[in-house]
Amino acid sequence: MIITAKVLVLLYFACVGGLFALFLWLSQRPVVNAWWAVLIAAWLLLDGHYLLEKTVKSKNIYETFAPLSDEEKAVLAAPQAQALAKLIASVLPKNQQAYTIRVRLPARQYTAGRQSDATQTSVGETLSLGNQLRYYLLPNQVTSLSEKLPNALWQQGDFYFVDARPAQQRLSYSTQTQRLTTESGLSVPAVRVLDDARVSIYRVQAHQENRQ
Amino acid sequence: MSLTALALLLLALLTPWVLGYALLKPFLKQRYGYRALALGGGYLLGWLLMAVVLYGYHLWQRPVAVLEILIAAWCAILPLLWLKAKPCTIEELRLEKAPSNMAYFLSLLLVLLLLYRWGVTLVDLWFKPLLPGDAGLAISIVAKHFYLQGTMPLNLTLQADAVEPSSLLALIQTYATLAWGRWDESVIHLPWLGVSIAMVFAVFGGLRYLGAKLLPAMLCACATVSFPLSDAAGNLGCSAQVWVALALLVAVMLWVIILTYHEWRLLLPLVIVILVLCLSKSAIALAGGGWFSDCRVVWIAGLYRCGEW
Repeated sequence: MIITAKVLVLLYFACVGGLFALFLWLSQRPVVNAWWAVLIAAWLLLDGHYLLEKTVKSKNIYETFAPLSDEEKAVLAAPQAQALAKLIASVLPKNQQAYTIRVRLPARQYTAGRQSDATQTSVGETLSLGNQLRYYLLPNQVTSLSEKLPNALWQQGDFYFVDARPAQQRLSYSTQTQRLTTESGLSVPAVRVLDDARVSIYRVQAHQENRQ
Repeated sequence: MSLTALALLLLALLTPWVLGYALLKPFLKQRYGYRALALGGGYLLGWLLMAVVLYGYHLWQRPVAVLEILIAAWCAILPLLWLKAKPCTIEELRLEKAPSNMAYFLSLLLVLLLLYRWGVTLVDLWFKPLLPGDAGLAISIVAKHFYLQGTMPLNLTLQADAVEPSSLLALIQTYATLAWGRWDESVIHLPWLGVSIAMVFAVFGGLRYLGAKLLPAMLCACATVSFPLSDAAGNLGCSAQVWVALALLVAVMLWVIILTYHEWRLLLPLVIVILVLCLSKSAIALAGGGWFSDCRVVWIAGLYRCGEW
């Protein structure tokens, strides 16, 4: 039997009305204070309303997500992160090894309005995207960079570097010398494995002879 | 989904609960509601023990075997179940008149309401994906890493403003997926439904233990997981909030019982619950503390009325 929203509304009013009547009747008995009975009935009314909304939401969730796999659900829930994760995964060698991936996320955006609110939202979004990438790309170790990567780590190398900023804000790369120039001016040997409108991905080589 | 896998998952999820119940029960006296209180508080203790066992596997770098853990756990549980709560005198028990039929009837209605709420929540938890805004996502990253690699991840983040997720909560999720046999976003949320159920047991049992009558204790227990005091089903998506709420509730309750009845041996479970809170400290940061005031309202209402109805 399909329970429609109308039936739910009727059930809701019947249940809450019945409970309200019971509590009113109970309040006339000497052991229970009438004010408490009214307070409890009001609470049940609110709670019933909330439960009704929750039921409709759960029904929608069931209809939307029940036939989908975890990966398909992720595409619906976080399309941007899922697409980026798939792109990054596509350039990684196909073996069981776990790689270190450092992702340079888009810079924090400041929008109109109270600056503190705008900052919080933007920082939250950046962290959220970083967390999602970490989750989808496991067991690879992903760190998202909202700040500059320390020079020592650049020099150490042996990681994949993902520049997810808009094309004009990305780090400069020379295809002739195969070197990537960092924000602090350090030049490190790297192989560009992907470059498109969404992202540039480099394999930063492990070595000791980086020079400024 | 095979029935064997489902049975193993249910057994694995119930085991820490029964273990915690068996551990907490001997610390209580046989007052009204002591079993419910042991079930509520025991949930925290059981999961803490399970997390310690999993962490042991991580330290000794042994692959985790759920069957091995389950057999060892039940070997500990069976003798523990023989330990009974301490008997108390009739004066201590404060014998009460049997509740009226109406009280039983209304309590039954409230139980049905709770079952309906948990059913709706189960549908939510089972089918909803991990959403980008979920605070629980950071916890799931650690859990998935442990599941895939068999070790806890180190240096998870380079960001100074990021909150490090609680390893305790992550280990709980890892245990659930290990029992299930594969990483599944539906399964990792199931322990948080148990938290909601444990919360109701804890409040109901605690208030009955303190002398509340059946109906007011039941009302307070329902209020703990209901709107507008708590967006219970919504919060269950955020594991950190419900976990911290349960730990705070049990801690406050044990403290009130200790002060009321001078049952000093309950200090030991209280210390363990405080340890759970310390291990969930990042979860407290994620939860934001809003729950504390919510729970307090229920408690004040419950404690105020418990002696009068």
